[in-house]
Amino acid sequence: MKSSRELSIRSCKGRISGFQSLGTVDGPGVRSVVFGVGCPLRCVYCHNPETWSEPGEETTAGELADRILRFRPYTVRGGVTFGGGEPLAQAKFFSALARLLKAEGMHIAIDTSANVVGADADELISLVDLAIVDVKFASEAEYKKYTGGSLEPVKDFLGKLARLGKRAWVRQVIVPGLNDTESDVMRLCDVIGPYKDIIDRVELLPFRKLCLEKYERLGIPFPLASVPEADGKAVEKLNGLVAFGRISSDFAEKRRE
Amino acid sequence: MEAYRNFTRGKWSCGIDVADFIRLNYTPYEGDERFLAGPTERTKKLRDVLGGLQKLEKDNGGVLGIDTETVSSLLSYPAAYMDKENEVIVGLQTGAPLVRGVNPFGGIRMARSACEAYGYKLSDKIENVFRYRTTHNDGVFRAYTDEMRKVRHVGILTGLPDAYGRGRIIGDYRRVALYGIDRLIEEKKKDKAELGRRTMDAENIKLCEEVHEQIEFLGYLKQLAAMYGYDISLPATNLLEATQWLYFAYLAANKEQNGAAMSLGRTSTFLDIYAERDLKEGTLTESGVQEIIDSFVIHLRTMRHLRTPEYNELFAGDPMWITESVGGMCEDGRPFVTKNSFRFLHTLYNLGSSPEPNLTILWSEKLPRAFKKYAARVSAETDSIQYENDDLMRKISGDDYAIACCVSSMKIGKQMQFFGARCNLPKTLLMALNGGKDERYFMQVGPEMPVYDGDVLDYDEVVRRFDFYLAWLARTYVNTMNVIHFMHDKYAYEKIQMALHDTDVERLMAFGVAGLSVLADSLSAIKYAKVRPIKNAEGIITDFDVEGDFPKFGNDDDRVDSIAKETLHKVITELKATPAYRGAKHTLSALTITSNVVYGKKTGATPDGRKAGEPFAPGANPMHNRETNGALASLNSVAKLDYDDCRDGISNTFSIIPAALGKTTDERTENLVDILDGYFGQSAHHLNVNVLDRQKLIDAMNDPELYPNLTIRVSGYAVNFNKLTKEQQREVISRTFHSFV
Repeated sequence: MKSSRELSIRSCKGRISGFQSLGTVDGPGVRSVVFGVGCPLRCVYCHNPETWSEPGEETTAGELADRILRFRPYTVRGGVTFGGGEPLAQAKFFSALARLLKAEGMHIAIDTSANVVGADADELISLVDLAIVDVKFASEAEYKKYTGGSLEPVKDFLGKLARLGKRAWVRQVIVPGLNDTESDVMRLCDVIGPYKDIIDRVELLPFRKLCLEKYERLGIPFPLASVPEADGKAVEKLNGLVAFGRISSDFAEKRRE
Repeated sequence: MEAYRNFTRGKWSCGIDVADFIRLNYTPYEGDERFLAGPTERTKKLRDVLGGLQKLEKDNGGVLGIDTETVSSLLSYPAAYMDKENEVIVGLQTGAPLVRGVNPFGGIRMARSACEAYGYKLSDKIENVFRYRTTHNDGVFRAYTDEMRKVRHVGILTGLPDAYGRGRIIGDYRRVALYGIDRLIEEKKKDKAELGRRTMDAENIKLCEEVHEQIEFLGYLKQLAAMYGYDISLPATNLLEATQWLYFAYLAANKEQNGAAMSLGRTSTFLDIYAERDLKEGTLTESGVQEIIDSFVIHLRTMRHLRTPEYNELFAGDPMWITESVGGMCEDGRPFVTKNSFRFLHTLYNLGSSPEPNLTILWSEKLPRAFKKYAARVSAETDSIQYENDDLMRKISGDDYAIACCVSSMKIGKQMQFFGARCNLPKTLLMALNGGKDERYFMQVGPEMPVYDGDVLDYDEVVRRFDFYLAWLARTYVNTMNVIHFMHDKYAYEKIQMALHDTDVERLMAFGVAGLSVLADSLSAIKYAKVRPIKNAEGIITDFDVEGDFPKFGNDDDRVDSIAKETLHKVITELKATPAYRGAKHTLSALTITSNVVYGKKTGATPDGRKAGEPFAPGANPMHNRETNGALASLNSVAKLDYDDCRDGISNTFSIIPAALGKTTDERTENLVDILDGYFGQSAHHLNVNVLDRQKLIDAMNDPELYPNLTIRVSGYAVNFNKLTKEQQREVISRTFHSFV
């Protein structure tokens, strides 16, 4: 028998735009990935613009948990990742889902840009094991210009993770002409440096234009249509600056010199 | 005895019991691959000789030569070599490497047309001999009924072994190394004397004659070895001899038989016992051990049989199914992984990637992690190995079974199989709708009934009809198989392979289905969407109009997955209703090899939206690109199929792009191990793994020279991509490549 509290958690409703049973890059090991709809940001390079306005599929935390748990046999070293869209935009729903999955011992990650604040978001943060934080730009002005959001809540978010003893990965999409210089990367390191103890991995990802078709289908102009894709090798080099995916203290020292 | 020095004695010392010998004497290895040695100079030279010959063979249209003057048998060719100085292991099938022999015992017509297909003519000498000798093929067609001819003609049963060697029989080739020929003959003579004390009914007389032939052929095997300068009367005394003795036995089987699948068995851990002793005695180094294994594998890679183009359509790429089962667990809880398990996989690096031997990992949750990781790495780098669930099969077959062909498990030396190709499930559904008429030939094949009448297909009514026609087909299928195998035993009995089995052998009759996912999706469409049949001028249903969506197999959706599962249960239940020849046990597989293309071609449009003539998915695979929930959901659907209903195997071929498995080599390896553990942990049976980009295949199709050795797993075996027809290449390219990053 399920308790009434559990039943109410199970019946919590949310909307998702997709589900992938096998993900291997959004967190450690083999993971299922859930894509929530809705996002407060409007990043110029957004890859999933369909999550801005399309309603997605309505589901309940209980249904979705059952679906995710079907993949338990594969996720001994992995788990599940809530992405989107912005999972914090449906924090109540994802918290309910996280509670159900945690009860089964699952490792939970969220892939977030950390631009939603409030009690619901705090609850979700307290339930995850890992947050993959997309620190989109390293200055407030650029952040505002290219995403419509603010860098401040991102720093607060990292601080909260550190206080709660959660782990973090940091990501940033490298866009030619926007944030692709060495000094851009160093500014990123300045932003995340204070939290380096909880950061297991920093990934700089090359800007790609695979999403063009989606924009065409949705009839939305793609703001970066004329920007070339990032060169994979150049981005690899920048990644080297943050030392093999882990924030290196060497790097911090080099900055001081 | 010198040969048995330092071996622990046991039951194997008194009777023939290789499994007991292995359990008592093998050394498990839990370490990683760092001990492995690269190729020696001799290995490199021999490898290059074979490489050159293979290139000539390719340039020559796929066949290097045919000896049209000689009937292939154990002693019909002189000793021959590839490069004598550099061959550590010796023995070739015919008088020259890669030259194909003629084996007309299965059917003279097939031998004749295969020669002609490659611009040769079968010699008058052989034609004359076989004018006075009945072949297996002659016998079968004498006994076939009109109905059997019809089901064969329209392709509701296809690929039946009625014109060539049935194959799928694994001799316990290890016995020759462990006991020597004299001892094996002695034991068979005892068996024959014992049979003489039984009532001389037809079955016993037949067996008496067979054992007589087995003894005769064991003698020939000894003479074959003598031609190469070896006396194999007595047990092998070291690794080189053990490998050579075992290889002679396997070679003899291939000289005598051209079976569709000539599998090797489970030899690596057996041979490791000899390797360990030689290493301890200081007579071999690691490099020396690897050289012997490499030379053995190079010789396995020279094996060829002469086939017709029609045969190649069903089983593309010149496969031999020299399946070697590696790993698995011992019943006492120790892994059967030895250093030799690694060495066999390592041949893919020392000798280059290759479809043969068909390396098959018997996967257990409890295999050492280091071995799992090595296998996964080899998979990702070579696309040359397959995995089967040891935890599932061991419960049924004990711990000394091996895989024949792709997925058929049998106890080595104790069970044999009557291979039975497969029946076409979607075509059975169409025949049920059309009241027993074939949808392509408009010919009455099955029992007559009115064509389905009604605007929209009603699920319950369709299922009633399907069940009726399935029962009819199952009975026809078993009867057809009984005819085939009666005649094969009579006219093309496997004398040397059966000599390496216990005399009182257990027999399996292996039936198969093709188009399982097409059938499941079709029934799902009928149940959950609205399907309107469309009739042609003759009043035969030849197409369908589908309105609305429906659950599709491959998405972990029980609504349709249960249809697939129940179908297999129905099929095996119906098959069992008709007794099989020689008291064989009925088994079933969901495996198509590459015949999914031919089966599709012979099948009209289906209610799932598949157009007439389009290929089926291979084996138990979901239909291409209908999986919308990602790779693991697809695996979960196949994992629901019950091995108890499908004891001859459930084949699943899985392709994923490297990036979807993880960022680094190490991550990809670890993730693949977790995927395999997760899949087999749910009692799934088999998985072929390809880790590659679709674009690579497209490039290889357009410019074969770019990737001359591109090996991919298709359905239970691996194939050189360039050896597939364009049509088959297109089908492989159109399959699902899991690519979520």
